[in-house]
Amino acid sequence: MTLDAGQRRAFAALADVLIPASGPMPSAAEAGVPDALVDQALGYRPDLSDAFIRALASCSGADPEAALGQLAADSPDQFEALTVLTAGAYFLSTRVKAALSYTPPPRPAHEDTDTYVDMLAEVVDRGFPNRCDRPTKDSR
Amino acid sequence: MNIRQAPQDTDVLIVGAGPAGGVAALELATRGFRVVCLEQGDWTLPDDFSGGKPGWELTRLKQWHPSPNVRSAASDYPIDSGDTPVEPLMFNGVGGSTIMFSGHWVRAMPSDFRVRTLDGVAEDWPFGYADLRPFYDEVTHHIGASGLEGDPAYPDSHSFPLPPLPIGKYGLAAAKGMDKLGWHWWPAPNAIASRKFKNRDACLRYGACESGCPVGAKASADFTHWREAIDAGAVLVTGARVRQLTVDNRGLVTGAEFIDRDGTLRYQAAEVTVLAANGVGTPRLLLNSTSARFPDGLANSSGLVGKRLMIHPYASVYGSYADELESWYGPAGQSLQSMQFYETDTDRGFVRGAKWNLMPTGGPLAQTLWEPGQDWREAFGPAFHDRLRRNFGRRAEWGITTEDLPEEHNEVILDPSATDSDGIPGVKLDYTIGANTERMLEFHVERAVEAHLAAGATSVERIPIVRDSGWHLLGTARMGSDPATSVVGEHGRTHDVPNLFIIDGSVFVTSTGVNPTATIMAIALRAMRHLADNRLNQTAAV
Ligand SMILES: Cc1cc2nc3c(=O)[nH]c(=O)nc-3n(C[C@H](O)[C@H](O)[C@H](O)COP(=O)(O)OP(=O)(O)OC[C@H]3O[C@@H](n4cnc5c(N)ncnc54)[C@H](O)[C@@H]3O)c2cc1C
Repeated sequence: MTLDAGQRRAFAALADVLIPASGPMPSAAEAGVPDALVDQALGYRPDLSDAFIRALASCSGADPEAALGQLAADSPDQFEALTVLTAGAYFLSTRVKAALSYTPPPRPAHEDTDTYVDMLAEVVDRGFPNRCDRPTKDSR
Repeated sequence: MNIRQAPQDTDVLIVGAGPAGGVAALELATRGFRVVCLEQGDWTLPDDFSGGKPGWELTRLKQWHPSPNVRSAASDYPIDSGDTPVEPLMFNGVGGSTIMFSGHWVRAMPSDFRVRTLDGVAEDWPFGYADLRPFYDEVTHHIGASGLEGDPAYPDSHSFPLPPLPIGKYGLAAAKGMDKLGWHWWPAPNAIASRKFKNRDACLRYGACESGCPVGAKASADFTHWREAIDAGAVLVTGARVRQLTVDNRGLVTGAEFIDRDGTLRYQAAEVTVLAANGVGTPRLLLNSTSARFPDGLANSSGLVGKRLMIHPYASVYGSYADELESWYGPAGQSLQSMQFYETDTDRGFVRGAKWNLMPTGGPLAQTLWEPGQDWREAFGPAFHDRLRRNFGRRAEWGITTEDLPEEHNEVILDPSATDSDGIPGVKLDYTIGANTERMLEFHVERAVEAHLAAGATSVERIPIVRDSGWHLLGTARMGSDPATSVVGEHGRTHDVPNLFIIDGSVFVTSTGVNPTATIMAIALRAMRHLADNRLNQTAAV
């Protein structure tokens, strides 16, 4: 599914209200969300396209903040579709990923027992407030 | 109606290719039985899953969601959950729900099998921890669980074939908090390979366990059992949805009618039938298998088929921390577990207890979702970045699995108003959280808040009951020695039909307070080994 020019304009008007710029983080529009990224997100979630298009139609032409407030209250499924796709598209952006400055997986599952082995000795020393039903050799 | 015959000369028919069915197929095929399994879903391969790919966080909310009602795939069947506070979760395909399970590999405690004796509630199991222990050990080593021997919460020092997975920075922070309080914790056991094991690669910490492991590191039953069972001669038919079990005039089960991928009705005969369709799928099939001889459904003279559903109501307490804790890394999977409040202390106002698991919190999208009912400005606008900064990589979950007690009004019933893609009735769940469990949840949530604060959390969020948490489906065809008050005996044979067995979580007498799959597989192995050992005495349909 692709957005027509009017729909894309309507979405662009909402996107930066939903995700403005903040510190190192770009706004949704700066990250390219209303361009190719929302198309990519819709590709992953075609099931949301109807509710998304309806959300754009509901908000079209209105003051974005007021329209979003109304949408969240009156049509939660549309607001959810709109925001899941907007945020989902946002995190697809390479600019956003760079600004988040983290190392995503994969990462090898190296053992880290050495970081807590001393603490574990204390856990063992504390023992366990177990009850009297420990199995013994000759009973259950 | 024209029914096509499937392969003849089958000793044992298994319904359901999850871990319980896998244990049965491997045990029986290697012991020389001719085994056929009918599975309504398909195979999945690690590449099919979205974990580690750009679309992961979006598709895990739909295509790889653990609720069949959300996924609505052709292999799923409708479950009306409108009258339960907990959404039932499962996966229908080869490997069953272990395709999506988190891999918490926890054995039950000795007290779990004796709650009537110890706490005066529900019933004792027909066997105890010591009887099950060799089967726990065998399954744990077969599937390649990762963990550390010596957890003082257990009466015995059981071992793991693989070293524990990393607890991560957030695990270390939480462990320090538990130490301040003097509470029990242990690096958690997981059914996830920390190193290469048999046909599985080592975990790469994608944290996508619950939407299918993209590495093939998780011990899902397709890897741990089905490939080996097929090598041993078991025949696994996928896209085969069983509609009804059939019986002869002696009251023996003779096989199953099923609908194949092309919509053709077929018939599979067998001398013995084993149900492994899970705590919802098994009662569904039994209740749908009515006949003149069994008007209330098969094996249901006790009236207990579908009743006593237990689902482990689950609470989450999230802590946000000032430090970067890399809580986007898996496994998910559990980092730590705690049994501090597992055993009964009547001063708390309830009996039994809960197991805690510390878990990571996923990728950035998971931190920024809006919840219906929430003011949009709490999630979007400037708040979007505040939440992201506060939570991404800095948030950890203490999850609380509570032991709910069996109550007959909690049940799975047939729902002819909704049918699956083959026209077979779906089910409806009627389930309410019991008063004992309500009190248990309240107590545990407050203790988990204390655990986070002791670990240095700057804020905590309580979710007293997580709706999407019905991953443990138990108790709907309980075990026992009295045919009037139970459906199967201790080795899974139904009291009413001597060549019909049930080996999934339906047979649980009580729910235990731990994740059930290690117990389900140990019970299935014990049952199927008993069947194989006693094959000469086993009644069979001809
Ligand atoms: C998201 C999630 C997380 C979980 N995490 C954990 C965890 O961390 N630890 C833990 O111990 N457990 C966990 N579980 C539970 C665990 O997956 C189950 O306990 C386990 O898979 C049950 O095994 P089973 O073989 O009895 O049933 P299942 O694994 O559910 O398999 C049943 C199979 O039967 C098939 N079937 C049903 N009806 C029919 C029919 N009519 N015809 C043909 N085939 C049929 C289904 O398609 C399915 O493949 C989790 C589950 C989920 C969904």
